[in-house]
Amino acid sequence: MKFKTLYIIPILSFGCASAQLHDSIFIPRNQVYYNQLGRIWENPIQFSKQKFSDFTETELSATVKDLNMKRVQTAESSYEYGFKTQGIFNISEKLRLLGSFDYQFITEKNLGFNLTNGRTEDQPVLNPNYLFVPKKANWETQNYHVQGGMSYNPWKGLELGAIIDYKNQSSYRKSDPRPDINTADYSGKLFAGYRLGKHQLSVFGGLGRRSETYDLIAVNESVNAPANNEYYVRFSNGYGRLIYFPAYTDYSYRTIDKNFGGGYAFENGRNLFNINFSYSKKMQDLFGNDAEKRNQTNGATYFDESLEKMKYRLVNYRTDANYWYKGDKMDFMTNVNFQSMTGDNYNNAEFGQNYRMTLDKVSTVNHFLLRDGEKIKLGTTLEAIYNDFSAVDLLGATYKYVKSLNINLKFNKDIFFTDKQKVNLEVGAMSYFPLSTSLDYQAASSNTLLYDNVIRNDHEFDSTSKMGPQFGLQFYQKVTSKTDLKIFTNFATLFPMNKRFENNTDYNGNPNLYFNAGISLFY
Amino acid sequence: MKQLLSFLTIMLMLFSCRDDDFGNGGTSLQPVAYQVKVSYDPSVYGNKLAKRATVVMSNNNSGDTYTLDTDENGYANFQNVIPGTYKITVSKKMVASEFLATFGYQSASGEMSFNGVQENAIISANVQATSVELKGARVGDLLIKQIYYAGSHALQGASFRDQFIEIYNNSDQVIYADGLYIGQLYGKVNTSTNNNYSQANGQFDWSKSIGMTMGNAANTDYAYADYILKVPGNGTQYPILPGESIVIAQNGVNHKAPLVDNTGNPITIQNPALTVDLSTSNFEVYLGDYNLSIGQPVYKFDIQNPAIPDMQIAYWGRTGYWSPNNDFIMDNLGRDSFVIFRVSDLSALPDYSDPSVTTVTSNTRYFKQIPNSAIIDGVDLQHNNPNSQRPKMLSASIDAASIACDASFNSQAVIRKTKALVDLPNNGGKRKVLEDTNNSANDFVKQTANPRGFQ
Repeated sequence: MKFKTLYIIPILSFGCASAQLHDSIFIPRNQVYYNQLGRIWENPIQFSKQKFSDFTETELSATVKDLNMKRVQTAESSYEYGFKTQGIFNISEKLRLLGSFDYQFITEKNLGFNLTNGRTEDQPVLNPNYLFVPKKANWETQNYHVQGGMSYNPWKGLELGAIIDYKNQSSYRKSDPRPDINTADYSGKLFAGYRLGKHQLSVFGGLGRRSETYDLIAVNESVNAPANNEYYVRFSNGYGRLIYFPAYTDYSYRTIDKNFGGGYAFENGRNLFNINFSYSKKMQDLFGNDAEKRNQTNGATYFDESLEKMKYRLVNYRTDANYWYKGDKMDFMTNVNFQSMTGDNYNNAEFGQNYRMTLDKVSTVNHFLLRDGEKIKLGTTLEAIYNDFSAVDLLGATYKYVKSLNINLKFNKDIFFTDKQKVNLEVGAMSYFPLSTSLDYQAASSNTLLYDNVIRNDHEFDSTSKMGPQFGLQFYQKVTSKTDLKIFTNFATLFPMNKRFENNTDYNGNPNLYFNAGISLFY
Repeated sequence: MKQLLSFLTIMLMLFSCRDDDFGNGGTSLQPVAYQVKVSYDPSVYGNKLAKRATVVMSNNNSGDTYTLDTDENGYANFQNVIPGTYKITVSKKMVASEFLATFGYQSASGEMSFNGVQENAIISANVQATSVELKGARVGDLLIKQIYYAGSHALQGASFRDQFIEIYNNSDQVIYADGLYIGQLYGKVNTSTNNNYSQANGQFDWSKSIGMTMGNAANTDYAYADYILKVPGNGTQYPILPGESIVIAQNGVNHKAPLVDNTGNPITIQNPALTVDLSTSNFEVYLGDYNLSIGQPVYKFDIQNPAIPDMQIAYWGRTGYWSPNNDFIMDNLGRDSFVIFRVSDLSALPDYSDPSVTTVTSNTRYFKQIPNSAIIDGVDLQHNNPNSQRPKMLSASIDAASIACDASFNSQAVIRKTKALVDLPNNGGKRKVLEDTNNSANDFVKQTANPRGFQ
């Protein structure tokens, strides 16, 4: 369902030069290698013997989404303008550096029941502790993301690696109530491995710290009262339960991420196999402000134990395996991923938890590519994702589960090809099928607002099969011998396959529309 | 290889199974059963349990409310209560015959009301019962009938300038308002207890104020006012007839009509229907002379109407430590409480700083200590936003609950319900008797402000 999947469309699109089998790989020349670039970031030392030549790529893009069929806590439409630059730099045979910088400016229209920077476009629920008002409003968001990485071979088979990551986000809602959200996210990860012949074992561990501060203001604060249903600020604690939150004007989250794991890699001339096991635990603490301590109505929020209100812990076990066959006239890449996530909340005032989220996810992505020299004769991508999701609120009292299957199938082909120009067309379809769903709600509280307006609607969304076509077109132009230009555009739609969502909610029956276009320069 | 993968998986599981992230209390919260035992104040009524008393439990964190009457043994057994911190309010009305049957002697009035309250009662898997004592409600002759504190729309109405309080004679005798005090009370604006100066219910622990020596009685037997007004008169100058009331305006003018403020600027009213005409008020509160006397300017919206008598400024903070308001302004959000009381010598009552003050400075504020025994009637207001609740200022014997308008600046007032119509002697008319169980949640409703109007 992610629109990001559209970016995968050109994965197999451009001339995969079999002659490069034993040469350095210039990633931008062949979109199939972007898959591998993503995996280098996950464990750079597993790829330190793979030859990738230096490159820098700079991209400008724009994305428009018109989401008629959606979960409630997602905007009805959005416009995203992005700038990205990334590259690989081989300092020596023993040292490789990676770098990337991303910037996005996003405007969203008509987003209700959500005063956070989280969205339910790509996830069934928000984290349990958050503020909302029913009133819809527009948002503006800016994201900055800087990443740096390295792999280094200091001695014999010993290999070391590191990744550092910094994200900064500022979001604000453009009408009352107006949260101004500032987010800073720092993380780092270290890798160590030893290579013996064709085999390598590695271990890794990382730490991250994310802080989000919320400053909620209103031009007309006097409407923030239960009598004004649309504007009254409420706090969701779980999945259906609403409680009061006196610190709603100023509060903050701090999330500490600890992760570690191990990996194995095997490689020979034509084959590369790697697998990584990892465990991560994110502990999110919600802090109020010091107004209570000072007997004031407004206060400052900071990370102090005395201001801690609630917690949310997200544990993730992940296994990720990849295989890449590099043939003379064909490539085959497959990825199998398994994740098991559990989220638990905790209320400091009540000394207990009422919410648990679980998500077990198995996915596989398979690419098959037939080439004729640098021309793509046929590329196929088959992706299948099985999700087993559940959310329980003991006090809400809600129990929901959804078992679902996503299947995405794409074909691409170079429909025009010369030495200096090339056009690649991709056609595909994405689909979603609920396999088994259930929503059990026993009103344990007098307030059923969240169930009536969010939970019930979202469950209808999750229980509706969907399908839609997608199309992609990329035009490549060689500018100089070392510089290429790419102009790309993608279009996709998503239709419901039955009337369930339309019959049971306010859904207008129109499909979702996605459009994306941009220009890249790589050298 | 298989063994290696198994080993890695097992090691990951072992390292990650520590589950002490939530401390020792990381238990699942689930609805529990809860029992409330209700008895009468043993010091007055002996050791008797209260049958058929109405118990209301309101969750501090969510507003979830449970209501149940006690059984024949005086117990209310709630099922499926969401754990949390609750305010438990118990009320009981008793007619004379039941009073006689229960206590063995005649009641002083035809109907007696009892109230009890317990704030910050914890309900959890480990705490599943509590007890509440009922105290007899004082039957008032003068009542606070209407409090218009929310004000009207700031641009289209009169903002906070049109606030008023109405005092009603609920008895069948003429009562003189002369010398009646109106106290605007002071307390904490939140229910937090994470400090060293709060009681368990979140209110100030006044026993810890500088110079206070009376122990917990400072909390249970007194209220604390930052502003006190006094009705003028020689004792028989301002009678209130049975079923009649006096209106005390912040500004005794017609707020529906254009005005000129004290700086000469015009005040226009875009929507007169949102506000009220207070030009026929009995009294108004004018701080101008008082402000000038302490070297402060007259507030621009404190508009004087010479045709309406001014209330006397009885207490505006300790001399030299004046309280900051330069006009009589009620909190539009509802963070005030009000009492009417009589004492022979207000100056004889002590005043104290709140207990958060550990060192007296020039900015220290003082609050007049009013004995509950002198209070004729009182009403605890509450913030209109449940996220911003505050603790009660008044004891259960004066007001067992609280009342709030729906929002600020919405033209609403809290007004006492009409209980009955009784015949007036001599003229054949009717007199309205207003509800007075000393439980504002039961006695009041919220409706559009209407001076001298009724519910």
